[in-house]
Amino acid sequence: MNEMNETNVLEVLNVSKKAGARTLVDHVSFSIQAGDVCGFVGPNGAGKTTLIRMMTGLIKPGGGSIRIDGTDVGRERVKALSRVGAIVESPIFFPYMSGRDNLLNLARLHPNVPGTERKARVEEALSIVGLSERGSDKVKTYSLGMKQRLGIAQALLGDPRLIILDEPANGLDPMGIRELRQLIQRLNQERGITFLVSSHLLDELQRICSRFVIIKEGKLVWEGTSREWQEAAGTKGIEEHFVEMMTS
Amino acid sequence: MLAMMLSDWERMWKRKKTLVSLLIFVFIVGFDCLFLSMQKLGAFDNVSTVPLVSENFALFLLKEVSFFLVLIIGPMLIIDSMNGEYTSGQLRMVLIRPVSFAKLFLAKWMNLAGMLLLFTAVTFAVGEAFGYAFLPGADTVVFLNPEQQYGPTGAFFYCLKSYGLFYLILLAQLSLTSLICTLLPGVVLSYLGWIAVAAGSLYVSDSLGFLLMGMSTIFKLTTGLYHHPFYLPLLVCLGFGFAVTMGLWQRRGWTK
Repeated sequence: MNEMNETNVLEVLNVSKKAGARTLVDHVSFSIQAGDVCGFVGPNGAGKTTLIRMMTGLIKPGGGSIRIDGTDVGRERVKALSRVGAIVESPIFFPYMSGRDNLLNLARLHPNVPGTERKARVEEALSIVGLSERGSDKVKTYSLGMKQRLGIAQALLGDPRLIILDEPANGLDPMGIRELRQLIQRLNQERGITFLVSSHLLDELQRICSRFVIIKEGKLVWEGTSREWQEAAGTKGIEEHFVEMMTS
Repeated sequence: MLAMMLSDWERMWKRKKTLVSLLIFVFIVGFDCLFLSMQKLGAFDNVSTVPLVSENFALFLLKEVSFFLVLIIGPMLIIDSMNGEYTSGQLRMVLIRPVSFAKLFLAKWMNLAGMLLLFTAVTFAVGEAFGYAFLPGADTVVFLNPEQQYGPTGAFFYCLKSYGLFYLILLAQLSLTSLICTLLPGVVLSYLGWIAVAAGSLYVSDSLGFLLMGMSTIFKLTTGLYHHPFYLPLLVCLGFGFAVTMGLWQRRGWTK
């Protein structure tokens, strides 16, 4: 089991989850340090979204615990999530409201966003993701890429130390993917935000991630830095190495 | 807590369904006013009727619109908030915030209680105003029990009490429907679930008849002619539905 570390923003400690007789997550442990951009990789059905749901307190682990900034999500969920932003699966907004109104509505729910600062925070978040001009349009008129960007904006509302993104590049065109990559890099470098990014786009992840966590069939199969991952892949390339790991 | 209530209240009113429901409801209340005033008689049941006058008009207006509130508007608003937001995936944006799930349910329950109070109050206000504006007044009126006579003030408070009792029934409905919404996976099933519970309760016990036959129960209760327990089953429905749903919201896994 991992030792508690002061610089760990996220600690997943021996976490398991079953659904009936089926094991979804099997004694997974890993940690992410402050300032990391961590790629969270695994094939479909590996348990990534289940783990992300547990990290955000949407479901409880069957065993083990998850700590964010040292606070157990299962025991003190509200405190643990006070500085966490997330996209879990696709970002679904209230379609009958504008992007700006969605953010204003959600910003009310952050104890660390005072009412006097709410509008400014929302405008800042819209500006960061480049949606200021379309902020007054109803979300139902947004493209998938705009919804993903609005998803990042809502994750920024509570001044997060950790942002968890579940397949944020889904449905994005190459330009959208590049914008997303640049946004993550900027937020990481300028604001020191730690990221956990789940994706199947290995090349994209390789460009932005400082470390990787790889799971397969609910089990942790590899954890390490980006450099170690590249060294392990050797001349085969990371895609071929990943396929070998998943099929072995 | 207030922030959660305001956030939910805002979403509730931004949904077109809420405003359209209120407008349709006001139209139906207005239509029922005209319909009742042409009838000249208020009927407690198939047998007992009294002349419609200013002092009893609001009560019979509530009887006319009560089914609409219990079977259409009420369930629609409750199911939209307690089930629709979640099953459509929209509530996930709220659930991933640093908020307590139990408090989130409480905020939704209180907002819906406020909304149902608004619909009930609108009916009462329109009924009293229309009655005093367009119907003849009477020195004394009787309700279901002809031996109990009421002056204008007494009749006003009798109507007010009846509206209060009806509102309590709506709160019991709110708690039970919230529970049904939490247990069933979709809005249509939740609505059918509520109808099944309301209709099925008639077969379970006469004491639960108020869920579907609210006004009939209130007519009898307020004149001493109701021979079943009322407050205890009502409070059990209200409290049980509320407490169990809150417990479920706190403990359940949010997978949508």
